[in-house]
Amino acid sequence: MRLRNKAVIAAVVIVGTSVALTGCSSAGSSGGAAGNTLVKISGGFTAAQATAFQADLDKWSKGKGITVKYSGSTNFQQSIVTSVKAGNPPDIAIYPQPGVLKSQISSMKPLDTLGVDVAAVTADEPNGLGDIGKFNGKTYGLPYSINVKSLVWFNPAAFKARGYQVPTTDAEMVALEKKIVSDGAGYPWCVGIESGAATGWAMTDWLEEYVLRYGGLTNYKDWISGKLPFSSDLVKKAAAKVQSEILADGQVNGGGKAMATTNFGKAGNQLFVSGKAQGQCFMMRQGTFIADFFPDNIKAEIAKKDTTNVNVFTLPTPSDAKTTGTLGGGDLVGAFNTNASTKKVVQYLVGKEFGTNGYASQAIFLSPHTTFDSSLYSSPFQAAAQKAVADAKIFGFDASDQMPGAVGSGTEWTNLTAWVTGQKTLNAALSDIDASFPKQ
Amino acid sequence: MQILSALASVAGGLAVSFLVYLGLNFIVGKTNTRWNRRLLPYVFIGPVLLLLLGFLVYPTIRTIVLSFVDGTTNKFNGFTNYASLFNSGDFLSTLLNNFLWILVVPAFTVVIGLGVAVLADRLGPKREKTFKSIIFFPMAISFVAAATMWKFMYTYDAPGQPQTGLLNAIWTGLTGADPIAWITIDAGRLNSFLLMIIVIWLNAGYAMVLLSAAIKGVPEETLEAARIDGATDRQIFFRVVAPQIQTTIVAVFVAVLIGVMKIFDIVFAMTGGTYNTNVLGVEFINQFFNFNNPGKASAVVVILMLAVIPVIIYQVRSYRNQEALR
Repeated sequence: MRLRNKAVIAAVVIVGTSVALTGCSSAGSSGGAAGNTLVKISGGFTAAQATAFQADLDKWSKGKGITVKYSGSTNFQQSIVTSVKAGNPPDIAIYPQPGVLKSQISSMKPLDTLGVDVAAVTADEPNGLGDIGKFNGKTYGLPYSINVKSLVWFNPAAFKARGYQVPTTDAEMVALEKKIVSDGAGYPWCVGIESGAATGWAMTDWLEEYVLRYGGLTNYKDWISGKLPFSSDLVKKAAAKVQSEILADGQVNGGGKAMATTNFGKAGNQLFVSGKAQGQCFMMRQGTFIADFFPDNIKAEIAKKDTTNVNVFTLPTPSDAKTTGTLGGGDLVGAFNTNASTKKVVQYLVGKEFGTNGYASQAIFLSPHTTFDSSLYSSPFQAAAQKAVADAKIFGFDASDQMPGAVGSGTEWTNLTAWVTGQKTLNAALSDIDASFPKQ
Repeated sequence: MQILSALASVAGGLAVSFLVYLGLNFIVGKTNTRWNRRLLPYVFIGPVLLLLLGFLVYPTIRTIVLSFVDGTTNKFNGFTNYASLFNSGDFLSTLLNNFLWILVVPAFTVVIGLGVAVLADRLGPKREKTFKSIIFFPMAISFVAAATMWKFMYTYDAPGQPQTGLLNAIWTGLTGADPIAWITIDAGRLNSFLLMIIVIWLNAGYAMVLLSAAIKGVPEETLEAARIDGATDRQIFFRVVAPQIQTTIVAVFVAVLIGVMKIFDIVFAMTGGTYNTNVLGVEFINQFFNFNNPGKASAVVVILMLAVIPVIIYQVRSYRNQEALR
């Protein structure tokens, strides 16, 4: 009995230790094709988008002696923070949020040292895109793809059936909303801000739209850096506008609580039903990417460039606003390596040529270069978005993405959600966000 | 290729650790019997102790140190992290949620588990087995999978849309009223309780199995003696059975309690801590990964650790008492 016990313990101990030991030895290197240098890219997009991205880079890298390997993770933020802290970063990382990039610049290589001519690359990009990834006078990140958020999606067939016109000014839009409500046709807006652990981000976009327009670019930047608090008159004015658009009675089916639990991707489904009883809504403000979330029959129409049932117009600017503008975001390319192959890949990714090897066919892609050949795009909205960017006076890069993570992907989400559901008053929510802003 | 290298690492690791033990055993074998007897236990327990030091004690100390460090400047800042946590209404609300979890889940789990165990004991052996299997079944489901399933219970669809959530389908079907966004209702912390139900549902089977075994272990003589003395069923349960299975009840209660203090998966998967359902586990993930604030994240962990330690001490003590009784 004694002996057997000992044997069992010994076996357990041996297995336990060996598992611990093997953990250390598994980080072997796996080379690509013979003789090629491997460039590893990490990013947050997966599935079809990742496949297309890889395919584009495979086509580009043929014959250049480079093998590019993209690995996407839906948990990109966690994985990049962990791998950089562990001293094992990829060669290149693609950041959906500049805040995360900023937190890692001490481990990153400035793009200037990788032979990227920042001024030349950003010459045909909207204002400010070159500055998003600029810290301490050095550029650590440049976008390879951007998105435009100031788009209002609508159903042209439904508008036609009711005799509604596409509004070109804010006054026309407000009048249209009143008419939709008084006609009993349905609800003016579709809004969904549920997004799992990221619930609330869609609300930050609504707020940013109007802070940008009422305040102009300088105030907008001060707001991002924390100089202009959330409880300032400007942000309150913007919030009041958001309130009257989507939180007032009858503006959204089910009101604030419904918005908070409706997934952002599903909200648009109600554009394509008919009648108030079914919860029909007429407009949805959302970024270019949302086309991927529409019902299958609509997506099939989009693929055929058919816009009878869905189209976009630019969110109009209120008459008392300081400026017109477009709100958008972008995925920033950052580098952790300065070898020749990494240099080449980075230069390709941020340059105007990227997308020409097939990636432009992805509906989610929008080149940051306004001179990009828009005939390469597959969806009718990509070209529309590119035109909106080229026409707008200012391009406001998503503010919450640039704020410190504790605010921009934390308290701003949760507090705006609490405001939407009625758990907090607007003033309480705004001052709670201010209180959480890290002091520099 | 990767599979091969993984297999090679496993085989290599096993061989190396086996050789380490073999070598140590060999060295100790060279000593005389007195020393041999003294050293041999340490040869086998030593490496494990080292691993424990490296992977448990060291990180714990490091976490405590980090909780006094500023997240961005990496300088000591005293109790600033703690102060800013306790000055935030949202964090206090998080603590209250954790407290409610601790108060509600272990108690309900034990009561339900005990109830089922007692009642199932009175069915025939065949039916007892069937019902117990059904109730034990949720134990096999991971927390995240359970959260995904229960999302369908509480799902909200805007009025006019087909209701895919079971609760809302019943609600709108019975009353004809508009669907309710259950998971956002924090009046009386209803949404937190809705999440707790999931964990109770998952753990009730575990409690039932252990308690049922304990009840079956109660000596028949004591029950017969009580019956002869004219005790009612209720008296038999509370005066005869309950005292004899008390240690098991405590063990189950504490095990569930510790699990609930560290609750994370269900809340993270269901709400991500929004709608005022946040708990410490989720707050840690947010602070560390999303807010990039290791200092505050460590402070959250230290608070959680301080809260768990008394419970563990209690558990160890009651376990010792139990051993002493044998």
